[in-house]
Amino acid sequence: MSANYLTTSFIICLLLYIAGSLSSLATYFKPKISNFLSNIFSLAAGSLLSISMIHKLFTADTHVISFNIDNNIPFINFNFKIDNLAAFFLLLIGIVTSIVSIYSFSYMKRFFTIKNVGVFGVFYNLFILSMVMLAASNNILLFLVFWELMSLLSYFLVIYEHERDEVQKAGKTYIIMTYTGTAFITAAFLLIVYFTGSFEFSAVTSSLIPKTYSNLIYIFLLLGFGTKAGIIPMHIWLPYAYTEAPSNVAAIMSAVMKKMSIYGLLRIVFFILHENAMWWGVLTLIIGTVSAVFGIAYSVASTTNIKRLLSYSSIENMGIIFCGIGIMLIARASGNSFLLSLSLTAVLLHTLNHALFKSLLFMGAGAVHYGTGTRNMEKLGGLIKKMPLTAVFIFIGCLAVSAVPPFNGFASEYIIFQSIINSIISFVPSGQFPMVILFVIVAAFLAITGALVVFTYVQLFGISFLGMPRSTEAQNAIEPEKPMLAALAAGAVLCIVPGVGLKQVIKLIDNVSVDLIDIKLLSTDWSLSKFLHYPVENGSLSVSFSGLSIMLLVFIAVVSLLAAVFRKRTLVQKYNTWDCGFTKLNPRMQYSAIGFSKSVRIIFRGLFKPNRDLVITEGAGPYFIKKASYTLSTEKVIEKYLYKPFILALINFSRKARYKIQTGSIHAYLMYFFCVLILMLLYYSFLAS
Amino acid sequence: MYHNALNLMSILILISAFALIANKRQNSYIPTFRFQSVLLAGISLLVSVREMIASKKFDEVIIMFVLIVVFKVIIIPRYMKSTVEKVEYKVEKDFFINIPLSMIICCCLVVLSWYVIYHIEGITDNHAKNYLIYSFSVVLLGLFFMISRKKAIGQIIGFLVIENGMFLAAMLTTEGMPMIVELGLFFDLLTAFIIMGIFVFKINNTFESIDINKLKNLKG
Repeated sequence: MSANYLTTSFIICLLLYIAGSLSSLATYFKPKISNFLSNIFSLAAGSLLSISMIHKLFTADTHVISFNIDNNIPFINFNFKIDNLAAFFLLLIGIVTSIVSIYSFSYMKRFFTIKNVGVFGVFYNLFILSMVMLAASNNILLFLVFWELMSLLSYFLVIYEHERDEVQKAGKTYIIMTYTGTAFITAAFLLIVYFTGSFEFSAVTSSLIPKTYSNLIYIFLLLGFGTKAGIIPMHIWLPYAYTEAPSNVAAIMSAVMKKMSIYGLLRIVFFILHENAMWWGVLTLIIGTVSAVFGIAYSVASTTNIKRLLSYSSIENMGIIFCGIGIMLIARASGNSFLLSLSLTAVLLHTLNHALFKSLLFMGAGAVHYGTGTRNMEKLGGLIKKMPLTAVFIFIGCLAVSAVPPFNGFASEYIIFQSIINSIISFVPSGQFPMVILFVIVAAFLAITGALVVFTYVQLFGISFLGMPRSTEAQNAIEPEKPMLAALAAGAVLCIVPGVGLKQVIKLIDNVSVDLIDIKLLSTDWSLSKFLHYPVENGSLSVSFSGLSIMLLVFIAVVSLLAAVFRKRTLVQKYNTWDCGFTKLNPRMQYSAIGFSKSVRIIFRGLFKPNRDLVITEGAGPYFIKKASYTLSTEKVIEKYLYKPFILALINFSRKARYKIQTGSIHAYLMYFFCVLILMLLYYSFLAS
Repeated sequence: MYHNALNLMSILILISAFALIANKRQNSYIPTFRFQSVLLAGISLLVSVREMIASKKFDEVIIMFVLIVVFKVIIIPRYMKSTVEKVEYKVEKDFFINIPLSMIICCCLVVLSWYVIYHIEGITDNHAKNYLIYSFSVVLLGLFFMISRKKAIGQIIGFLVIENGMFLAAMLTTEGMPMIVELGLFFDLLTAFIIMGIFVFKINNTFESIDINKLKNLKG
């Protein structure tokens, strides 16, 4: 397959997406056909894209697909270039969107009678198309155009069910935050263009940018891309938007769209800002750690809504990725090339893994919503009996996100930890103790994060799938249709494959990082016992993923064997007397989601300021309660203490300014004319003299 | 000789603008404006006659002369007068800035326009430079007049004075612009004037006064 062939297949993909949107629009009056067409086209395009990109990443690793369309628009030339970095992200888009398209075949059914599915198909296809074009564009302005397009189209997808007030609120928050982020990105890009005088990514050289300005550019980029990635404290749009968006959209947004910010950051950091100060990395590392810990703490403690839980969890995962970027920048500033390649691999690997398992989990949440009609964990329970296949797939997703060895999440988190430990090792001899302390703290926080992740997903799976149904919705749950199950199965398989075949994935990522940093984290000996890295520098890094998986399997086998052995000794005996007044188990005896996560709320009570309220509606006194309502609320600290004062100040200022500037007096308006006229005259005459 | 005459008349127009600023009562605005328009008409007559004598051909500027005389000297002032008579009239202070201070500000504006015009490169003709200074000062003074007067009549007169200033500049620096441009300007002026006249009645009906300061109440 030559590069020419790849170009052709890329263009075919673009055409397929356009065909998908147009055909979906053309048949909007027949929702069934419209939905089928839009998804079949995006499925075809997505699979073609992922096949061609996998092929490119594995074989034609140095070749760059590039094509240029001449036009007369100033500053924009339609210059597309797919190097390995772009190909990696295109692969991500291809895989995730094709799975989600399969899922959408049946997921969209619930909208057939109430909404215009044709319009959804248009936006859906164009949204994917804009991301594909974004990843492929080789021009700063083109990048911005597609970035905007992506934000706008995703906004339309988020507010698809716009009749509901919560959706509108979510959409409003989303669009305001995303445009704030875009403003920062635009500012950074304009600075770059101002100093380098070029709009191309590849032609730009960093030596033209003064140091102070490159610092400013990086901060702007961090703010801008961080907003899209949902890094704390710019995350406030994310829990609302992902919760209220349809599940397939939430899956794509969380799995792919967020990753575009990682792509943009890597693209700028490696192609434009070739040098960086140490504090860039430290800042990114701190922000990433904070996001990881607080994201997962919010996830476990502040909500019982499955989708909101998942969206907070994706804040946590983006935090981990940003940690990786931080380590990468620190390594680059201190000239440690081994660490650089290790952390870059970790970043890319976790990007891939998060895309795979988070899309699976969001689709699973959608399947639960589809099958039961609710997303509230307190109303679920016992779903494993009603939806056994879905439960299995979600269980695999939960294991993957909790970083359990045979699944993909483990590898990337392992490499992140490994790079932290290696950073500590490399900073100790040079006596940079503040850095060492920082890394130790980061490692501790990431360890807490890991524990809380497990807690969260035990809660998610345990409360909603195990036990007894807590409501009639859960009792009447049904297994979703075949396309949905197929998509979940594909997602689950993709969670296992990179974990088991890690060698191949690392090889693929090595091809990307060779492009960027010219070093391979090559696995020369990837046997059961040893894991040697290249270049060998500080200590050794040895873990065998297959070995670990086998050990885990053995461990599980031993535990279940022991359980079976002990089970015989504890025979079940049925008593009626002394049953403490309970005749049989009922759903209310189970742990509730709120009860389960209480311990975390106690630990983080400074952060959440939980507020409990027990109102007895029936019964005499506190000891004979017949009916009571228990409400628990947690405070959104960042919204309350960071955004609210700012917004209030802004509104106050605007109101005052309105009364002072726009007074309604014609004389004042004439005065403005007069003053501007005089000032301009003075300015020009000073300029002339 | 010709330039001396033009100089004199354009300085007189400037002085008439000063006189307008010095007016305390709105009744006296209209005669002052009429006086200024007569001077403008005189200048256009002078320009056209000289042009016709020099080229022995009919010059279009004479049409402008007729139009100025008909509209700016006769019709507009008359119409204004009837408007003023119809609306409420109270003798009260009509200006925000008192007269002596206004005169000083206007002097500053003239100096400013001199400074600005002086720094424009490429004006080689010294006469043209002078004319530009006078006419530009008239424009600035007209704008200042609009700002400093409370009643709507002041705004209309100020607008007309600005227009006179621009007319003056066009006439003296280009020896008469193309006919079609001048006519366009004139129609603009007339339309604006008619609309303003109607609005004065409307404002008077609504607020029982033509003090446009009261328009503030319209703001939500």
